[in-house]
Amino acid sequence: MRIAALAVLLCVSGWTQAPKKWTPPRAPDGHPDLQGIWSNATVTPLERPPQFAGKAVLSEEEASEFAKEVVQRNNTDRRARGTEGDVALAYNDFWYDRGTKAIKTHRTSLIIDPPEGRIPPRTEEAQRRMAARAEHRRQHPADGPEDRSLAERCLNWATAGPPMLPSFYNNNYQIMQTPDTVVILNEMIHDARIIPLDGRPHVPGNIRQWLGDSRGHWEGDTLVIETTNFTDKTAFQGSSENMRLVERFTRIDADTLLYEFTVDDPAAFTKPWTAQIPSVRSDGAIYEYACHEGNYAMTGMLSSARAEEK
Amino acid sequence: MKRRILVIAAVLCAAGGAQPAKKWTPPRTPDGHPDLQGIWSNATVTPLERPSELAGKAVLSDREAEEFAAKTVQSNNVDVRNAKGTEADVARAYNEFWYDRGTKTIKTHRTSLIVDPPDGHIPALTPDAQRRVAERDARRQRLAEGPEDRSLAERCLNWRTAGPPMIPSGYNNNYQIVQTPDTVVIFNEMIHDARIIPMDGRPHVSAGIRQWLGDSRGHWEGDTLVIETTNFTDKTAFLGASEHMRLTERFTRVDADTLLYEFTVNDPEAFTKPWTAQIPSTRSDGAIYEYACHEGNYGMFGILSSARAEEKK
Repeated sequence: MRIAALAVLLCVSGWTQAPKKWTPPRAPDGHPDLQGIWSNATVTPLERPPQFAGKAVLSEEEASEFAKEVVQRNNTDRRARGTEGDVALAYNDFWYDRGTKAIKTHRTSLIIDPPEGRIPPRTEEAQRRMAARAEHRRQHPADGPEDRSLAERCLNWATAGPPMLPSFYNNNYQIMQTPDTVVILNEMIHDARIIPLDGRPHVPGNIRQWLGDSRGHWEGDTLVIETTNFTDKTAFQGSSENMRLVERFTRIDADTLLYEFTVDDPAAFTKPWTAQIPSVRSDGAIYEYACHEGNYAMTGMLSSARAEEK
Repeated sequence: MKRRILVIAAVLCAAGGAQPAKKWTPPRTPDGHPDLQGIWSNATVTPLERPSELAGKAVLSDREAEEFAAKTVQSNNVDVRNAKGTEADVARAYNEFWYDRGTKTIKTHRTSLIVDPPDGHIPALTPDAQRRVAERDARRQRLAEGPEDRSLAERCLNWRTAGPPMIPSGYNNNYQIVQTPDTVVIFNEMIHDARIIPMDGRPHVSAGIRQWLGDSRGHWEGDTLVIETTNFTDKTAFLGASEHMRLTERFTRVDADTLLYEFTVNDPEAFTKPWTAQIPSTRSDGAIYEYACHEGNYGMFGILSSARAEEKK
């Protein structure tokens, strides 16, 4: 089914080169060489925007119009100074390094399955969990650091994954590959996943990790990584700790690594869902990531919450 | 370079390894270089600098090494403490359960990890470095005005033993190497940083870019992986180093279970001469799990709020 979906995608999106004619460079062990730095930066959203309901793919012209519109909307230099929502004009456009183009396929969402391009409905249990979390956030916005998001606490970043998604900066990831190990370093929050390819089983079920526990294998020319053992705090888009994530990496042309992931989590989603990002080769270097150095926002949030209580 | 080979030879002789290194051939990767991959442990009771009671003695006998290890393990045992509730140990935090220290001396039985200078001590700091260290100590000793007054480790930014260079610590002594023809990855269990090191001869990043872990470039010298690191920040200050520290690390497989890790600190601004340490890292069969730093740890909060309370007195 997956192959069929990919074929459809390739037809509708109109690759300049049919992927069959292109042969990936190979590592000495015969597998495709996925190594290098890849960027997920794009204006294409995870879910299809309402304006494109029923429309899976944009024309060339529509795609560049859409990109222009998003770039303009995202420009944080265009804003009213001194409003309550933007006290200090922090984070002007200098800080961002967003994508400026639609993904190569010109699809209107990264999600390709379900076909409407939206995350499937959450289960009742997941809805309850999400509502409880939102309610807690309203009642206890900042009793302590644990009430704030994992990203604000420099622990984990929803877009750094796994799975990896486009973000407003630090969209790059680097792959290193040996016959028995793959390393994926994410620029955002600088975690490196070191993934065994030797067929060993996952760690026991009682070991839960922020990044889960990843195991890889090859299916033809596609690197497949299965990740389990997440914590119940990660909650990617409402997922449970029992999310089973399958990521697939396939080189489809000299500058494109097709990154696909499937979220399978019956405790959270009424059916599995799949997204695809054609990652683009990046010639830049990845520099060190800094999170909280010189950033007093956490102190500010907690101390103003205490002041508010008085 | 010649001198280094002599030093290694001397160490191997003195240590009386069961097998002379020359007869052992390391496994190789497809590109012909020694395969350094795997998880290695730096855990040992041998200190970086030679303890004063062993002044003048470079190497221990088998029996002395055993005695030294037993004595160190005993003195490290934080469960042996009778001063419950003293000022220094309010909550009996960090009992022995938390530690995963080495329990043996390094295989060479040397009395310090430092092999050069021969007295096993870090060379004298330059006057400039002494002043910097004193200033830093003064900042550390005053009531913390903000998190910046506390150590990088307390702030979860960097860990002195995680390096580079890497040295033994109270726990999380493991590192993992992944190696391809043009890149080496060194992942350190402590504070979970992965250095991704190009081997393709590219130059260092420009001098205006300073990084917590510096900027590493690798190459092979025979069967030894050599990594040069520059571009440190002036905040890292490894044992008093300046931001201009030039660090050279060498990794050589010397037997099936040992990766000889050697590093040389060259920093004329901080040390009156270069110095070199050697750690025979031991193959580890365990797995490295995720590292957690500040989760659930209110130490920083406690330090800062008690400093504010102290000021009000």
